[in-house]
Amino acid sequence: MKSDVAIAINNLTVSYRQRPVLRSITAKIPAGKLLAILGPNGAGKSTLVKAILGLIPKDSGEILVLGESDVKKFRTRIAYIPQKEQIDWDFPVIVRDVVAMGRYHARGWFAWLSADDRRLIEQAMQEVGISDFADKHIRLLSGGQQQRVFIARALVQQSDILFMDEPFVGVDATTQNAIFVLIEKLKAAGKTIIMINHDLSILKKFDRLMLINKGLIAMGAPEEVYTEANLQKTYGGQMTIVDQAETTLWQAKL
Amino acid sequence: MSLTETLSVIFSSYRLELLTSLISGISCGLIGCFIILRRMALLGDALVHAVLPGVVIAFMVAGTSPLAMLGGAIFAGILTSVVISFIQQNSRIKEDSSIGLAFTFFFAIGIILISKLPRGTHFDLQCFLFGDPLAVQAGDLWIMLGIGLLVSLAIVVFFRPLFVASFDPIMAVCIGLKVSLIHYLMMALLSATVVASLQAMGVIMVVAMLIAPGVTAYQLTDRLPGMLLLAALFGAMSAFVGFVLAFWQNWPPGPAMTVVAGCLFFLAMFFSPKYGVFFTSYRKWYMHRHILEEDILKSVVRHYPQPLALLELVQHLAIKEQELRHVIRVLCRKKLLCCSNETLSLTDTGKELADAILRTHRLWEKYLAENGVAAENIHNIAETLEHAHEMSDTLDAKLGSPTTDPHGQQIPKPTRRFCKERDGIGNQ
Repeated sequence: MKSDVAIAINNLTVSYRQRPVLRSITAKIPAGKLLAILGPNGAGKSTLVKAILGLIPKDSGEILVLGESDVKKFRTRIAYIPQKEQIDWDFPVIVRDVVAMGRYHARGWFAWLSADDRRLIEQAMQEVGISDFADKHIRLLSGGQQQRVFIARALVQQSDILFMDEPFVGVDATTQNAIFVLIEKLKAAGKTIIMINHDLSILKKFDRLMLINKGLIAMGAPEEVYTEANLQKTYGGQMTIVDQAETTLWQAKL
Repeated sequence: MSLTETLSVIFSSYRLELLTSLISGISCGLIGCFIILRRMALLGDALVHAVLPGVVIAFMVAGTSPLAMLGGAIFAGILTSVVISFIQQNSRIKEDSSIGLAFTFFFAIGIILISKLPRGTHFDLQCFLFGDPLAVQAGDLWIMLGIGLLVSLAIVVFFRPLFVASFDPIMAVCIGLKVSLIHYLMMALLSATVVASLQAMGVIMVVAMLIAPGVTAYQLTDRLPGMLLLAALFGAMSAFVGFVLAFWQNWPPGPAMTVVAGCLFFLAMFFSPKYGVFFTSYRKWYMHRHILEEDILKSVVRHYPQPLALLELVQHLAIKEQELRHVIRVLCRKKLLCCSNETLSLTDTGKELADAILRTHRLWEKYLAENGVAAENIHNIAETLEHAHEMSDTLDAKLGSPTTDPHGQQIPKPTRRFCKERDGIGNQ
């Protein structure tokens, strides 16, 4: 039986160098939906994702992913699609090698990939439409094709949750649409997709929005939460009274 | 001494020394690939120097035992990389500065320790810095051999963890890899390789052997296993050729190997088929020439069946007359064009090819017009796209085999022969 909550975050607080970056966030991310995390630069979007993946320690709070609270167990069920600039596109690796990485966890670090693995890899490349470039170096692909390589890797990883970190940076509208078509397929297969997003013009494509700026401002369907008031709170640039207090405290410590 | 004499002397009396240098070249090449890809060249350089205090302390405690020195070096190497990460994580100092600080600090401690060695003992700093492959003893060879095997084996066994941790560390963590453990494994292997290679090359030249074979290989291949194999090969080649040169010309061995490694790199940088400066410029020039040829043919076919005056073309294509005449001569030689009395006309094959170009151009115009591109722009865009002939059949099918372009001009029938023949050009 599949739970309808993919990720439950309960009272999560995360600090970076003793300074709170995210403050007591409580949210339930529904399964099988496409969610956008929105917020200005430095609002803690990436921090939230990193905290969920257990890449940075949390001060307090609890994260349950698919009902599992042990980060070591649940993060193998999450596929992370990195930001474009996090990848060294000159790395000596061809498309098929990158997609094959998705099988490493299932197969183990030391065993050969089986014929089944190979079939899965070819299938995934077919599905996202990059089979023709399987033997090409990743540098030779267009921005959209590069995104699809990592989506294919997530597919062979067979994870239930996909994190996409700003996939639309430097990608044209046609490619964007092609990726949304792929995402629809993933959703139909029951996957949850969580996307850090900067582009306010495409919000209608998402099932849920999560507006954050240090804390959770609002979460819900776009038509409910995409309001002037919420935007003002998220992007308005005003410091809340708690922010001010914390900044003063932090400066006093220096 | 002649080269053959040198070689026979080396093979008869210096096999041990040569073998040690070869294995150290291979190990440095292998481990160097990861140093390069993880952008740790500076860290590698630092580590190489920072092992000095470890080596000196081991020397104080255990004398000239190579195993003790190895242990001391690995310990000092890992300690240095721990200190570097510690500084980075607990202060505002960035990586490059913390590396610069830590390694000079450790190196200086090593030098002070040397000055405090008891009288009568001799620690050869000169040898530490510049190496002395001829002073290699059987024990050194065994250690080098052991480390060479260890490094190769570690890279084969831990290939996937090293690969993922180097390419996409976040994914590596997510699928349960201890990335910091991999980092320290690398540091340990690096320190071991460095120390074992010290005798043959000295610290300063070891850095060259870590970087040069790997970057040379990097110019030649698109996959990590290939890069590793090539780097090992270039490491061995540099060591061998350097060793022979050192004997033959009486050069210091470490620098001889370094210079060979550097020359291999420059060769690869210029002549690598895929990424070399030479071939990429050639491909650019070739593409430019190819486009020019096609533009000439297209201009002539537009006049068909009237011939076209050569001077008119100079204006139309806005290029130098000299270049145009040269390209036209080439086209005449290819029997695509006839040139008499300064006027140009097409041969039969030339006509077919020109029709194929025209066809692609007009198909593109049609496609662009149907996809909402403004009428005043379509010609110029099609002017660029027309050189991708292999697309014309796809376009034709997509558009339902139209007979006229948006300007009402006829779209020529396919001339398959040329699409096939000239395929691949413009595929880049």
